[in-house]
Amino acid sequence: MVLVIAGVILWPSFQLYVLFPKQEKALKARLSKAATFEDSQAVRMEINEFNQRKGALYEKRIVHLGLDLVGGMHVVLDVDRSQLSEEDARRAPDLALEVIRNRIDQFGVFEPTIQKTDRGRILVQLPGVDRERALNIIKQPAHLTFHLVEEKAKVYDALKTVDERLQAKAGVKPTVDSTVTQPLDSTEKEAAPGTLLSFLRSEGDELDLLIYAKDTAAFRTLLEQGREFWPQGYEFAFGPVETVDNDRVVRIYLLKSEPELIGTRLRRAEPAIYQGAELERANTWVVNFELDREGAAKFATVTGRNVGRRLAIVLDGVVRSAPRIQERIPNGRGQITMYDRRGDKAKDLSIVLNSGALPAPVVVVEERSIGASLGADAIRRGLIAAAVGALVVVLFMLLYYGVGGLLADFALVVNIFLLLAVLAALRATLTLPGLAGIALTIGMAVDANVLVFERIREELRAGKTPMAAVDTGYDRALVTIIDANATTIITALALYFIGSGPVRGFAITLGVGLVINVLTAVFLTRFIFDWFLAQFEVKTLRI
Amino acid sequence: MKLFGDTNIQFVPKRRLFFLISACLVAISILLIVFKGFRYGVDFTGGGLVQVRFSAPVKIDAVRAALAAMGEAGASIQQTETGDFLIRVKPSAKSGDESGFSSRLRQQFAVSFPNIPFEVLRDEAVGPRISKELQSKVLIAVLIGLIGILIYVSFRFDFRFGTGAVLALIHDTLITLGFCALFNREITTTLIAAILTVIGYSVNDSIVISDRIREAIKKIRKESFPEVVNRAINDTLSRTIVTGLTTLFVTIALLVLASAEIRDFAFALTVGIVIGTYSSIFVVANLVVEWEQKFPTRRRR
Repeated sequence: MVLVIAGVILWPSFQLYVLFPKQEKALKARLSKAATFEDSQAVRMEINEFNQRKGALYEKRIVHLGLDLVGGMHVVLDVDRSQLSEEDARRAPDLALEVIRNRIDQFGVFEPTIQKTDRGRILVQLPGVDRERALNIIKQPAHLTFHLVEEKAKVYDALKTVDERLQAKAGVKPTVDSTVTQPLDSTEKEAAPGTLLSFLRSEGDELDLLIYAKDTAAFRTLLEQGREFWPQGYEFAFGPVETVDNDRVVRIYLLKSEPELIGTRLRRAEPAIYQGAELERANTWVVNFELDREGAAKFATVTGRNVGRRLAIVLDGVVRSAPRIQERIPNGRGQITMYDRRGDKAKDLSIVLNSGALPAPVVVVEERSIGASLGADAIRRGLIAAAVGALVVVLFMLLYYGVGGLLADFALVVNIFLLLAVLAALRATLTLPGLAGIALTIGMAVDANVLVFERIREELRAGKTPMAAVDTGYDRALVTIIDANATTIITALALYFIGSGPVRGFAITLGVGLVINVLTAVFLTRFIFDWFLAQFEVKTLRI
Repeated sequence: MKLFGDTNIQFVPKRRLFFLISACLVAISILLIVFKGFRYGVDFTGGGLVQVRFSAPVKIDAVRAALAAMGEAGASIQQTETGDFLIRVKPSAKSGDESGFSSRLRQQFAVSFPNIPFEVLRDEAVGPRISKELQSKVLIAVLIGLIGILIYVSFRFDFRFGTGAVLALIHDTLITLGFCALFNREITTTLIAAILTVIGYSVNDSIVISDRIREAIKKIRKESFPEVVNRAINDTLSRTIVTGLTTLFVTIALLVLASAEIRDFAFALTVGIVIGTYSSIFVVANLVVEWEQKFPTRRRR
């Protein structure tokens, strides 16, 4: 009866881990063999349907596999609340959690775990994802703002002023890392080495001043030193690294500090292929966005009032682009360009923009990520080890206790079966240490039966009949069995409540395994023993 | 089949010898722990660990050069038997974000080894605050486990057996830790879990023997206490060894066959079970005998 229930509970897990991988393989093989477009479409439909069935299974009571077995990313995030007001700081973790959950949902991951843990931290577990992409999606603050841009000449003047003031302040030339290489083809001969101007690439382009990408850090440091001399109400900003005439360069912008518009609420953002005239951007992906009604109205006013000027689209402090406003834009539509030929960056950026900005920056304070192949290796070798260990135990018991050993082995198999069923019913997660815990229970499982058998042997030696020997053997051993397992179960409990992740997996399998051990040893094998003796009227028992 | 029929090995009269052996083992273990010390894992030290597998053989010097190029010359590099590289770094000092090292490493390796595809098998990073929290968590787990066991033992057994079991437990734990230090095993939360399991197992074994002694005291009155104890040890010998063996079969299988991540764990379990079995045969009951002779309790009639 119990076994039937266990079987029913285990069925979804069996489907998921044994049947489905085979079907999945078969489907993929058919897809690669499909000759015509229609064929492959048909197979794709089937795969979709299959994935839905697979997804439905995860809702049921199944044994989940830990990240250390399937591979995936495990990060604990801390929300940096240092810059927030008390009120905002209190709400920040929940807000961040919501935003991250939204992003992950759109990213599309089977069975993600996103939850708050102690001290307002957020735990994110994503099985089988590309770490770099996932980290980018999670961590990107996604603050979108729009700023008016000053013209090239004014930027040059501003830089010059900062240089002069810095030199005046120091009395000498401002220091700068001397290892920084100067552009060789510099025609800005008047710029003294070690000044901001000396970093400029001689030919900017018609719109902006450029510096070489490799100089960015040194330039930024120097610029920061002169922050007090920046024009009032303006800020310097940089573009992403791009390629101009085979040089990797970065654009320098001077923006009005006050944003014209904050794009906290976008109506939507979606990736698209670039349609504009710039040749370099042909076949790259961009993100088109649309502001919500309120935003669009403001956008229309701003663009209407500033026709002919440039408006920078700033994402997380980086100027993505700064197009010139040709006319009033009424519909609140805009575009973020990026040199993305594969489309995944554009897709990820759309996801991030659609889910809104994080309330504060998040940092990874703990990470335990496992590559898929390491996980596969761990599960394969873990299973082999457990199987070999179990086999040796089974053979040993057969040799040592004969019929009794057979009985103990039977109990062992039932044990493992029940253990897995309980794990499924609890929706527990099986980790690598958890697998070791199961193996360990196998070794310890026979203990209860060993205790009983040794007792029965003694009683037989004392001259009792088999029936009586079995009865007393079980009665006497019972107390010891419970005593002996109790301490290990206490240990497992302590590990469960305090431990995290893998250790908890170990605690669950060990604890549940031992409880089941006691139960099967006391009820199951005894029942079979009694039945066996009565059925065959055994006169002499050898165990 | 029987390995141990009616044995009557004189465990109790020779107890001083076993005490001496145990004392030596414990002393050596303490010396090892104090002077050689443990190799702590990322869990406890904080910092990062990245395991990288290249698709073609790569010299360790090349990896060192690549790390130096990204300003991480201080990273420790270790090559596993499967040819993977384990790269460890200290926690990031300023940013507080621990995922950065691995991301930078991927970019750098893609540049340094443009023609050798590689896969990052494992990323572990633990911030300084988290590692402190983990340490205290583990300490609490160990304390709760120990207190739980002590309460249970004192509840179910009298003071003498309780003391014997606890001394044996300390003995087993110290020696297991000593072996971990000797063989340079990495101390992680998982390894601590193994040690706690060893503790549970050790007490389990002690209990079976003391159960037997209690029962024998009630039944046989003409034998002296040491004789009763010796008999009890002999009577349970078969069980003690069979259970120890079956458990060892499994832990050894894990040690030899399972993947490297679980090997330290299996090592601690294997050592712990061997020592636990030894102590429950040779030490626990003998401690009780020693105690009984120093402070005799009146036998109940």
